[in-house]
Amino acid sequence: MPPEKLDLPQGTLDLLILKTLALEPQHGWAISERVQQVSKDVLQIQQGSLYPALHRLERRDWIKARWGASENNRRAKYYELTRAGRKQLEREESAWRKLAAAVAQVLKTA
Amino acid sequence: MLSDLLFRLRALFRRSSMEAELDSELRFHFEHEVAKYIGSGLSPEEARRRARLAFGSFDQVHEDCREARGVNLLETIFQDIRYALRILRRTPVITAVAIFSLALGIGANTAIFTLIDAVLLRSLPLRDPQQLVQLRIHNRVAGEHDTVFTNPLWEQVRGRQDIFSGAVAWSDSQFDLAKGGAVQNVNGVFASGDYFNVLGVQPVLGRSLTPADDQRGCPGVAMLSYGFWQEHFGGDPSVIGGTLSLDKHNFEIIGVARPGAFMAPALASPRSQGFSAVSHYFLQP
Repeated sequence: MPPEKLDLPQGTLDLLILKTLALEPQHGWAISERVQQVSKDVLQIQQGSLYPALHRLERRDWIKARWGASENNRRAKYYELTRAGRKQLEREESAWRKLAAAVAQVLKTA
Repeated sequence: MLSDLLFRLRALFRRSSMEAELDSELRFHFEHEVAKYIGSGLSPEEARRRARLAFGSFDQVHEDCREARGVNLLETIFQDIRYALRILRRTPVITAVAIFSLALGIGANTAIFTLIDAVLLRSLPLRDPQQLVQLRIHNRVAGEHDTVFTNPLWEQVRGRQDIFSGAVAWSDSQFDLAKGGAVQNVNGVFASGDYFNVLGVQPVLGRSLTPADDQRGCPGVAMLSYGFWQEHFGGDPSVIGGTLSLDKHNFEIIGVARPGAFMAPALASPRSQGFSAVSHYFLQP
């Protein structure tokens, strides 16, 4: 029985992508695989939302893309964080932590 | 902001190559997905089916990516412009009439504004032009206001007025520059000695007229407008001290007025040697 899958709340997709790219440049498929693995299959990024999100982040200058060779030597498009992207990741991460802590606090006490 | 616009434009103009890139990127993703399913023990056909199911529509992804790149807005605008141009080309007569009336309207407005600007909006290029007043004589017999004064009258006004900071008189005229032979007329003014001081027009070269140049029997002197100096003397500074023949009298050139000074006529000359008998008056409080 696979674990229950959750829909991503609005705005968290960007955060997940940025966080995943903070470790090393990766191509689209690896990003979605990694998120799925790390979240133990709870979070799944649909291709239909992954690629538009990548384009949007590239347009905002938070990531940049270049073509490189994949692990099995195929041409793949690799995305990496820009300096602005790193700053944005810090902002979004701390905002998310605050939000999550606050929601948890309310759920605990109210 | 700028990088955003550049990104959008690049996305727009390199559209086909970006679409091809996206295509190969999606295919790459798709094949990895298939390989993953095969690795977990599915048959290749079943793996492809599952991957396609998970993937959804390629076209939809393309469309969403275009949206994300911000191309759609620009593209729609270009489409609208192209559409408008096509329609205009289909009705050339109406288009021509519309363009013509627009051109006429814009042209007429520009012309009228230029006139209004020169006449109403821009003030005279003088010191404190708002303080200038014009003195007129009321002729009771004719019931007219006259700005023409005789010389004795002007001398009375100049010598006795004490409500203005200065008074000037001038009269526009034509002078013949030729020393003999064919007449060579230029526009000019007779001006009283205080003319330049009171109006605040500085010379760029030499000196201005002074009241000493405006006495009965004094030698006539001439001041050149900047334009006349450029046109007739090529801007040569050695004209100062030279002579200018006006109506076959010799005038010493004493100075050149600054460019743009209110001195539409080419020359200014003091009333002397039996010239001026009539003058207009400007007084400055």
